[in-house]
Amino acid sequence: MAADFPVAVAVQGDYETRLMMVEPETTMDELCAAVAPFVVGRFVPEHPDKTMRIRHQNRPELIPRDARVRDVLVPWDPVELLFV
Amino acid sequence: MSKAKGLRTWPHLAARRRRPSEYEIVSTNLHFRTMFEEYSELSPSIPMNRWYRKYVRESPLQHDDWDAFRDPDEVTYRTYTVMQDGQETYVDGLLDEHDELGHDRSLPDDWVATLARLYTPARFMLHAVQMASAYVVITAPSSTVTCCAAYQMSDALRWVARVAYRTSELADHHPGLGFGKNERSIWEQDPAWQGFRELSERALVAYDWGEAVVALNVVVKPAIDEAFLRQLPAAGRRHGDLLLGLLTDAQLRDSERSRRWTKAFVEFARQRAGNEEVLARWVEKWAPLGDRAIEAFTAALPESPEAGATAVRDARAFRSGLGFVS
Amino acid sequence: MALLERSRWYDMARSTNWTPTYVQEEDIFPPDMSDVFGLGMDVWDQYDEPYKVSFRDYVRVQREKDTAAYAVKEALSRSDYYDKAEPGWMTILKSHYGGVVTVEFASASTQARMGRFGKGGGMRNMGAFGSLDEIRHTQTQLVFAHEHLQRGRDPEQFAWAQYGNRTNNWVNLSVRHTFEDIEHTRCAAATAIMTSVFEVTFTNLQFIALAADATKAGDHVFAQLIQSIQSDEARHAQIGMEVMRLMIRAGRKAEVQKLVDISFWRNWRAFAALTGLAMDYYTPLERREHSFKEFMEEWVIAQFDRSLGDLGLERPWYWDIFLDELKWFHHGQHLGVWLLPNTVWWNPPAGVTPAERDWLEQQYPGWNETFGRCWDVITKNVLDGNREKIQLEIFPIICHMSNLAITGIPGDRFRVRDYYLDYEGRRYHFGSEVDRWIFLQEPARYKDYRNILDRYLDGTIQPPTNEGFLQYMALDEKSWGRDAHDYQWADKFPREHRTS
Repeated sequence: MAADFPVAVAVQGDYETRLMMVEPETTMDELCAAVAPFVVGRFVPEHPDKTMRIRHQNRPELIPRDARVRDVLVPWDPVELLFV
Repeated sequence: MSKAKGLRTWPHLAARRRRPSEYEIVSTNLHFRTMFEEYSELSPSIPMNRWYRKYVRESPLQHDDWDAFRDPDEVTYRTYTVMQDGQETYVDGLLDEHDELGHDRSLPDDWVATLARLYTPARFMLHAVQMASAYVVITAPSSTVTCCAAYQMSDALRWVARVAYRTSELADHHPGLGFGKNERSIWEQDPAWQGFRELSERALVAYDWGEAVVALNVVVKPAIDEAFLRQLPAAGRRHGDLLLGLLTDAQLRDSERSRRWTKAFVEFARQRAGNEEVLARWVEKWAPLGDRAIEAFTAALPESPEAGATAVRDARAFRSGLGFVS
Repeated sequence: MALLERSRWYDMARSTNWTPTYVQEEDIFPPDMSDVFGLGMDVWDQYDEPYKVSFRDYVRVQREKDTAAYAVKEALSRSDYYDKAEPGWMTILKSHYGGVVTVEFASASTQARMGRFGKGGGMRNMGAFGSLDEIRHTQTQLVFAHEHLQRGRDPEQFAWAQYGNRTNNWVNLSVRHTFEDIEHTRCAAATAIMTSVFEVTFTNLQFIALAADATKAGDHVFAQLIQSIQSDEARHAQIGMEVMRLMIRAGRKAEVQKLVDISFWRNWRAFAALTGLAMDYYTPLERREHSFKEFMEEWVIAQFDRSLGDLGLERPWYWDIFLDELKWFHHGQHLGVWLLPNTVWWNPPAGVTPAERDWLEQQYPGWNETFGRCWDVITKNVLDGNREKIQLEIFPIICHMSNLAITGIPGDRFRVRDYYLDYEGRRYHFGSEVDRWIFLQEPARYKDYRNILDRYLDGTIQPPTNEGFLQYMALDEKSWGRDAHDYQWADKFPREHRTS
């Protein structure tokens, strides 16, 4: 399966929103794991005692960790990756 | 910090292994409107992108490297202002001196009437040249052609101002003859001007950029040179008007600079197969309009039966000097 | 001398409209090229330019100015100032020349468009002088930039002055999109208005503010050059002001206001990215006269209120958004450029030593707990020698209007938003509500545009790799940037900041 689903990701504490291309089957946890190495420890500090969770930029609720990208987002949706 | 080797010049000039002139450093390869698929990054469907595609990209006049065109005079902004400051000082001197001599007051009435009819309304014609030159600035696909057109546009503005100046002087010395009032209606209605007015209006809407250059520089301006800048003052000299010829000679200096870059342009365009036919077709189309303009204007010159034929012949000589038979 | 005063003949030199009969008036002045607002010739006949000049005076005054400016250039050739000048200062020169010079040349056509398609005779004459002015600005700056080629300090970066805007470098794409929208793709009337907003308010920022910093930095050559250029602006900047007056008198204030609002915002974003970085990060600390925010307030806002307020125009509807962005927007842009120096043609200083951070906190209270938090992480990586962690390997979303990265506020006050829009089946991204609003004013103008990220994803950029990307942007090892101080700025931090 091709990594052709674009998500605009803004990690809590980062200064800009970034493009992440993932497979549509990717879960929220997998998305966090994919983004983290590029941002955490580079532009935002590590938070070893916290978990990364995702919510849509325009909606307050956190998206379940096992939800799949193709089920909860449309291509190019902006999401925030929060340390909770 | 180690001192690395510098560059001799811009990359596009470096290939030729000789020192570039200041003209080349500051005038060449500067347009970005020619570099990409469309004129601008805005949508292809917007009017300006469509205009440019139709009248520049799809012009029948094509060249693989318009940027390679060079002004034979290598005029830059800096040399233009130095040159024209000197020329304007000279013209100021002419005006001042002739005013001191009481030149205008001494002119015979019939010649003054000729000036009101055939000289002061020229500001409209010269302004049309200014506008048409501005169009070449906007559309030329080479910064070197744009620069030539910009200096040419400024030359025209210069002479509109001088005609306006003379109009004011003549109004002072010969009140009641309509100087400063009647020029527009003369330009619009007097038969002597209808050839030049038609020529000007049609040239202003020749929107293909190549045709715009050819119409303006190969036909319109030379017709003005011959009829207005040579034949009119020739009649003037027979009527005691020495100032007009001095002013028009100064204007011809600017015209001759236009002729030089026009010649270079035509020769440059001819490098590409197919352009010869395109250029010749345009010259064939516009030359008769130029001749008619000359004839209508010169027919009104007092005691000048040869003026029209001479001016037409001399305009054609310029064109044949460029290699055109029309 | 017994010459006539200019006022005796000036009106005649601009009374050059006539009624065409061999062609239609609207063939000579097609609305799309001249005036889409449909004002009558009787309105345009009232055009009265506030600054008047004759050709005779123009060539004399300009000749004198050039003599002074070029004398300074001779001083440059002989001086060793540039061999020793601070890297930050050299960076400012390169970024300025590379972005600005050929925009000036394109403005020669903007002015000539008014010179051809303006319906007022005075407007056409002023456009002709304006066109000459822009050629002057282009050529003078090219002479100065060319001098730098031969000096051996990153000559390929100075060469960007001539060809930068002919490339698809992301910065130049941003510059082109912005200035093509403002100056090159509208009728003469709209062009005049939008260009005047740019020239009356923003060019002061880049030219006068920079001149002050240049003088303080001891770069009298550059200071003289750009002061000389700016002295031309007052005249041709007024062309559009008179168009605004005419249109407002003709009851078209709302249309003028909208054009002003669009132009002001687009200029704001462009200058924040160009001048904001130069003033607050690239200018060596001890040379900084004012912060970018202070200069904006003194030159841009004050000038806007004075000039446009005088006409009866309002501050744009988004003024509060703009005032807010003044505090933070350019700081995010600086981070992005510094982290990807190999995508630009200059060497960005980090500008975040302890002393510089103190200055930033003073000028922008809250800087340390926002942008400072990102720099804390970055600085630690620099100190620990973790260079791979300073690489930016995940690309920003790019605004479809400004073509800048969509940045926000990081750290403790985290707020980053993608102001996206779904339009005709395509999703567009914008860095602000205002950029999105501009798109919606005339979607047909903007909807087909593909920004550099689109081109990376749609196969335009080949190969679709980092190398392909840099090649598409015309950069190589000789021209792309790196940290201006080779990371030595981090040595100013105390030992205890390091891990080991």
